[in-house]
Amino acid sequence: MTTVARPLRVPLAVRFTPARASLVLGGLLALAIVALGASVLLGEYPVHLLRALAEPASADGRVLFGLRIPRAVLGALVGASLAASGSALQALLRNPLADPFVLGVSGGAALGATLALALGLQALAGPSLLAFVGAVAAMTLVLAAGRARSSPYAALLTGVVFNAFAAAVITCIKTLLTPDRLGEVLTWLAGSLGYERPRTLLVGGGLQLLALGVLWAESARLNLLSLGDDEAASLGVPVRRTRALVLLAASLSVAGAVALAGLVGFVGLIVPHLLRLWLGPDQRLLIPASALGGAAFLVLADVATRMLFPLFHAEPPVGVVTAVLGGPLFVWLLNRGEHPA
Amino acid sequence: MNVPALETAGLAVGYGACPVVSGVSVAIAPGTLWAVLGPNGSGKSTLLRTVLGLLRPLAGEVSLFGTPLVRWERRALARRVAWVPQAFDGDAGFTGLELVLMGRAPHQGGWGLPGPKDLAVARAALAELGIAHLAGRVVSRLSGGERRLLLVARALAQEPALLLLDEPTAFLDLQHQAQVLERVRSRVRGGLAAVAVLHDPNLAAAFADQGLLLRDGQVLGQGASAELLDAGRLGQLYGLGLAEARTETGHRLFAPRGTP
Amino acid sequence: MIAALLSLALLGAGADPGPLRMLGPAPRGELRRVVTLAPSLTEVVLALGAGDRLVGVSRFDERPEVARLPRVGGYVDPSVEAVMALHPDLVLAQPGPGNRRAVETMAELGAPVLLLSLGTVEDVIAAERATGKVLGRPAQGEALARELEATRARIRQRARAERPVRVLLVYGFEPLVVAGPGGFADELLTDAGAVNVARDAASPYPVYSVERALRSRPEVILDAADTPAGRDRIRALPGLAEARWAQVPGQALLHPGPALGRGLEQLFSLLHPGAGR
Repeated sequence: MTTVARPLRVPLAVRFTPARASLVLGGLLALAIVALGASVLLGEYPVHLLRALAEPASADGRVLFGLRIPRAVLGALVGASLAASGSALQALLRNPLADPFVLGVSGGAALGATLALALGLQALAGPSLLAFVGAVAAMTLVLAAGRARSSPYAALLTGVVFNAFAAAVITCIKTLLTPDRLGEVLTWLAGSLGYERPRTLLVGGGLQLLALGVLWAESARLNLLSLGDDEAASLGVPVRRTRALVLLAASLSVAGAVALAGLVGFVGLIVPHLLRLWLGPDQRLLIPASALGGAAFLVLADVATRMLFPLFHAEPPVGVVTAVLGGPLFVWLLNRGEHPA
Repeated sequence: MNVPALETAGLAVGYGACPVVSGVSVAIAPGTLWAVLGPNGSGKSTLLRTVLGLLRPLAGEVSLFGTPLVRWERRALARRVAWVPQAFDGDAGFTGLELVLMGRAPHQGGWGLPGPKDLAVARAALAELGIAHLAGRVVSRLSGGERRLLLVARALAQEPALLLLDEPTAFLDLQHQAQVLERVRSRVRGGLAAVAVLHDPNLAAAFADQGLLLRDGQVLGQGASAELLDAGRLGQLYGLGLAEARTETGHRLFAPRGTP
Repeated sequence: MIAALLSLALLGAGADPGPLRMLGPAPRGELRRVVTLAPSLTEVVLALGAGDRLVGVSRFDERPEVARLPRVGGYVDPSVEAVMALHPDLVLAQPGPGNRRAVETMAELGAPVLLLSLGTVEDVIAAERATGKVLGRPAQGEALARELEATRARIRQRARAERPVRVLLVYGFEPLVVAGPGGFADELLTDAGAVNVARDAASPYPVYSVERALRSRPEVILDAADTPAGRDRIRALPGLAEARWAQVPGQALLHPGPALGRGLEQLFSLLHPGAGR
């Protein structure tokens, strides 16, 4: 029932060992650091790094600390969240094609943000706050539906239906908007990284640390859950509790990411899937690896959007770049040789 | 002193309101191997699932090792009872050894990092079933029979006191069918209690001490396999005429009457 | 009914806090490096004769005078880094929720920002005065403002002698987007002696009901659409086919800026072709 692509090389018998994990995660961490470095050093404004560091109050310093670093950190947080949650949900829903938006969280966030933009709400970081509220509301709905029935598909179906409902309401709102407001909504929905205040980043970062920490802590049980509910139960896993915990943590993580950056697509699908081909389906390794890989991927995609500015005199939303990079990559993956399990 | 590993009283099992089979009262002692036989859809798998706690009983009671099922904590139960399901439905990206190591989960901590004992037990289970070479192979590349053997190895790695096997010999070639039941039989001699749903009465006659026959929602018979399994009763169970024979080694064989 | 209420809420709640606002540090000294984030604002600066001080414009700017200048982004997505890289003494921007964060960030980074809303003709007049003052050319700003006021007064005077004409100003046909109440287009139409048949709409740029447009039976339809898609189909409809269809004469009527005066005069001639002088 599940499909998996041919692994990239012959696996070791046991692939999650502390030694291998350190090696893999260390490598991905290095990649993420390189990406962050590139993001901090590249941009329209020529920043003199030494001067910026020496005098934080100078123009160079303010661009470095006020623009480059917050944007890089945001990209890393959002990328880590989407990829790690995507990996967890792929295991939970036993579907390697699931992405973090499938649970309706994205619909709720988009609806909240669209309402905020439509009403021109500017206080309290309008779109972000309403996006988070909308995401949490959607998540509550989906979790309640999942609790009512013990099938994992109940949550999935509720999420899909909610997304469709939210999309319909958004379309209705869009028709009532003036063209300039419409442009703002479309930009938000496409997903883009802006410049957030340090306090926002701290709160967002804390949330992600908590949520992703929970996901990693449950990763061993998630492995067992991917065998099927009954087998997992027979191996001693508290199925309903684990499922609820993973759904909650993943949803909160995605809600936090979407509230700040909009619907950035493909990261939550491509990064875990690629890493799974390389590392195997063990979530104990995949979740932290996806977090690091996702951070690196999104930060590099953001660098790409900024490099495109001289060409278009516009930075495309980062969701566009992830789609352009991710789409063909995904098609290539599919063609490499998936065979049903 | 000898607490039955599994005891049921008037157990009725099923998925909805209607029971698939009812009135099951058995006491499975340690050191015995029970075979559950019956036509398709007679509730054999449902019975195993209910006894494991995966399904709620529709009537009657279930106790494991003297404690009622409802009072068992999930993990504690998993340390005593192992289940070999009928099909492998999970992520096929794991390797053979990783799959078998999952059987050690009830004995491990939160991260499931295998200690030396876990690895030893897992590898021993693989060797016992003659599939040590599957340790490094990814499950998606394996045949149905090889996967079945991995599931049995996983259950053995769980080091249970009660082993529930749902059609363990499906998809296996003759050699492996015999090997699996031999290994189970050997462990049973060492004190394991085992219940195996079998579709072949000949295997039951060869390996099982006790039998439970299910048909039309009822227990058709239960007891020592030597007396229980005869052509008449088995014919009634499967709804066709059977002929019985004895081999030179003393084993009984059953075959549909009328085949040339 | 609910839709109408929602639309009113959308319109009302989105009101900006005043047409003119300064953000960030106060502009000091002679401002020689000015960045504009919208073509209308570029027009104002050029009309004030301060075009030599522009160092950056939006990517939508098409005036030949600024063809050589670097582009810093669009309406909802100005690039903060690109703007700051030009070391501006002053940034002129039209406020909107989309660029709010970016504009605030520019102010935080030390760029003086003047937010100018150009929604109504009064806004434009105020913007001309304010920009003239901040750029050190108050006389020119005052002159532009007076000229626009005078043109309006003159046209209004002439319009009194004419019969009011029922007009529909169309910005786009698919969907039908028209000039609604509350914007500068509506005000100019009123100045020129026209009755805007779409004055019952909810916002300055509403998507209008085609059937209501038919029912309102405009006498003149001003075509300001940038693509002809859908025009023929709308033009064939009863109630609209009988109207006099005319293209808006040039861009002057479409952009809120100093050229509105000229646009108003063109509009008047268009609506009242037989009027004297």
